[in-house]
Amino acid sequence: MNFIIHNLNNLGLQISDGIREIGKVVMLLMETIKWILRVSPDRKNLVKQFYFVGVQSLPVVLVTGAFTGMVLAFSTYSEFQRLGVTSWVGPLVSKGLTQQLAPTLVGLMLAGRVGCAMAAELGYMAVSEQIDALKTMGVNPVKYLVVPRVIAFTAMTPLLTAFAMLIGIIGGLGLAVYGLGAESHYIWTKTIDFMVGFDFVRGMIKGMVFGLSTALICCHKGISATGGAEGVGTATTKGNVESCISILALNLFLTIILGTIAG
Amino acid sequence: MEKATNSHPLISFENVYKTFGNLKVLNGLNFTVNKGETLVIIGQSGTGKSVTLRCLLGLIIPDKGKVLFQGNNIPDMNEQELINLRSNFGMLFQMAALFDSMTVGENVAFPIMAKGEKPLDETNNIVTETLRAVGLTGIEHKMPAELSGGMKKRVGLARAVASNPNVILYDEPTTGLDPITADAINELIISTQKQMKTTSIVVTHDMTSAYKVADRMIMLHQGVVVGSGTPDEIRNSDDPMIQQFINGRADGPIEI
Ligand SMILES: Nc1ncnc2c1ncn2[C@@H]1O[C@H](COP(=O)(O)OP(=O)(O)OP(=O)(O)O)[C@@H](O)[C@H]1O
Ligand SMILES: [Mg+2]
Repeated sequence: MNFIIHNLNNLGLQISDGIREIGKVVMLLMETIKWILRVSPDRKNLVKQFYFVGVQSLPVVLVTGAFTGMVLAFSTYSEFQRLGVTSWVGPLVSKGLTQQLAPTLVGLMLAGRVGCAMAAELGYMAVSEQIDALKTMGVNPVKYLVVPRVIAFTAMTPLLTAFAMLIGIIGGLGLAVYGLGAESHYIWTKTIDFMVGFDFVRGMIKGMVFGLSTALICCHKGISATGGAEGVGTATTKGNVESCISILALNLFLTIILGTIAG
Repeated sequence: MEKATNSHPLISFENVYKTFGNLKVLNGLNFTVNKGETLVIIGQSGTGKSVTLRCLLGLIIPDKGKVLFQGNNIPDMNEQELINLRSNFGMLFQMAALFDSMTVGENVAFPIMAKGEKPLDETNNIVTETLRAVGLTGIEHKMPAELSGGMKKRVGLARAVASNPNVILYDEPTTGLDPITADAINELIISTQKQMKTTSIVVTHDMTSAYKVADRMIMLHQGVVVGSGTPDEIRNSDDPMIQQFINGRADGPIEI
């Protein structure tokens, strides 16, 4: 009995902690927006972040997209073949990638590659007093450190998602046609029939939201890190886990909303 | 007649308390710093010397008490007031806190650029000059990771004084330096104070340095001031706690 109460109590504490953390992330969002509206961000920092988030993530994102597209095609092809409708592989791969897999997997990959790096870098700056040093010199850390990262992450994730969708479709359909022997003409017309422009837009909107949430969560964890190397480790792990969870949760939410909009 | 404005200290701590979790760090701290003087704070590791400096910069908000700068209470300040307050200060952090994504030159130039009032070539001159004053030449293009601990400390020192602030806070400026370099740093602290009429607070364990740079000294123990006076008064104090500390003895009223 005591054991149960103890655990319930713990769960309660964890939930209230979680809510407080969400509150802090929302406050960081507000502050970020305030600074974006008030001053134009530091060019040099912004370019550096764009390069880091965008250009340097491209290989990872392309590999993710290509393999996902191919595995989708491969794993469904034989079923469609038995039903005699191999051309359906086209819409399945395209819809699957644009609606769910490309934004989610790109989001998760970036949370690992970029989010962790941000949480660790800012976390190290926090525990080595660099953030305090910034404040002492009259520089607001949110304006100077968080704003360029959030802008770059939010702007680059949809673009990277678009690349993943394209390369995934090319890879999936390519495998179906050249590897599995599907009829390229039918597969292509079927795909065009089913795909609408909004499919791509939807994927990119998701990507944008995932990029924003990951950037905010990881920056928040980073700048509020305390306590030496261990603190940096905790900030990085928590930043990663929480941004991945929020990507999965936001995905459900966005799927419902965007699905309603698409009709 | 005494003029009130003259007798007002520039900085004063009035009954300041600060607790982290259940660790009481500051326990009713009281001291003042006058304009233009150099106050040295000594005290055992962990007694709250760094925390005291942070309170003064508004980086830590005390639980109770007042931290006054020019008569204004720092814990009550809003964001803009804090920015204005901090523009008066230069700080050498205990671990130097150099920005490790920037070169040494960019680090030292940073506070000058942040104030945003000087042209680039003038800034570069100040950077070279200040680095020379701390005994470092030709390292502007190095990254902090390429420097030794003592060099980092000196770059941090250069960065703290570069923008010519009214008040400079030094957190253990000579720790980790060889005796000769340490003395050069003492000279720098003294000459900065003389030339620029800066007010300084120096936290140190290095008694040679403390006696040399101090106009006045205070000793902190468990978050309160347990002794204060001129370097001579401290040296000749018959307070057992002070004697134990300045002579560096493990046995005495202060327990480890
Ligand atoms: N942000 C913080 N959170 C929790 N505890 C803190 C924090 N900052 C300082 N402390 C604690 O407060 C106490 C005093 O720390 P402080 O850094 O002021 O010591 P110090 O007098 O500067 O010591 P040293 O001479 O070793 O630098 C320490 O026990 C430290 O653990
Ligand atoms: Mg200290």
